[in-house]
Amino acid sequence: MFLLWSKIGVKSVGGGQAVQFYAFEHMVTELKWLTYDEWVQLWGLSQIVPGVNVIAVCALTGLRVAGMAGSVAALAGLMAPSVAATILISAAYTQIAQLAGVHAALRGMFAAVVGAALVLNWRVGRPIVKAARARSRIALTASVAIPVVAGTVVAEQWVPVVYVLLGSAALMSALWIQKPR
Amino acid sequence: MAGNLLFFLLLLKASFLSSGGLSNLPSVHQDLISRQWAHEGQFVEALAIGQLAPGPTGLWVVALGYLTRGTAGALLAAAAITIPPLLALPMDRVYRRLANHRAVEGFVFGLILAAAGSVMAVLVGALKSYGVDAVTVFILAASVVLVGHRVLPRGLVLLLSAAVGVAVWAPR
Repeated sequence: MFLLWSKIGVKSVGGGQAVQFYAFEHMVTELKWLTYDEWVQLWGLSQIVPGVNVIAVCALTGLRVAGMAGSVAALAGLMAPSVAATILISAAYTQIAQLAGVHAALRGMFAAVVGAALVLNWRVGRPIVKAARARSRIALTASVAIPVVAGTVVAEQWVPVVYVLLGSAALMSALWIQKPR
Repeated sequence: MAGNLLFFLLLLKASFLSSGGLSNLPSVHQDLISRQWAHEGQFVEALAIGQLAPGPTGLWVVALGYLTRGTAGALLAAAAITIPPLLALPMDRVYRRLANHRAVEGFVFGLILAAAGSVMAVLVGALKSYGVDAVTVFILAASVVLVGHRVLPRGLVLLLSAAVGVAVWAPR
């Protein structure tokens, strides 16, 4: 578990989707430690617990395959090499931060980070808006309005972010209780 | 030390109210900027490092911890993002019932949508701090197309963008 998840973590430059891909390849397709149904179930659960989904999936695969010890080993495998690499890259960055050109490189890279985040949020948000549309007009309106309003409120620093998140979640929760059409 | 504890708790709070990746950014941004524990540039640096480093995107806060508080900050950040997803372990058994509960599903959807909007607001704010010109807009649009249609892997897009940045903006 430890070795497998370190391999998955280190291979996965570029975040969650890459991790998902490699983890599925190894655990379901090659080793058959988990069935496809179990895998889907784990991902579903990882979506509803707070925080980084991949960490939840990692801990759950460990738990299913080898109990609590497996869970700890899987987590250590995912986190230790990746955290160490992140610290090393950060440390290397602080050494070169003052060099000419680094600032310009960062500026270019950050524009691409914003673009990639836009793609990611679109991919995550669009299915929710579609589901809301199938439910009711008011759910559809809320699902479109929430990102816009939340973005504006956070940009203008009107209230703490926590209230924006909890308020939106409570609103959608209330709208979702109603049975779909 | 007291600062480190509060730093950890603020990151933990943000992580408990997030649903992966960058969605803890708005809360962390607001809390650390208002205490002057981090500045805009450090967020930009940490987000870029987080994208380049292996592992989940969520590790960007580990880079932020390092840049603002050294190795101790990085390890505290790693702990703060690891704890909340572990709720999955005790929930594994009751999951089937809970997942089908419509109110729970709606709650998570609301969190995701609000996070999406506020993450973009924070990112665009940080981008503006550099000044936005035609090249910025070009890189952003190109990365949307290249990443969105999976033309190139994300890491390569980031490196190309860095190269364009150096070519255009680096002092000569």
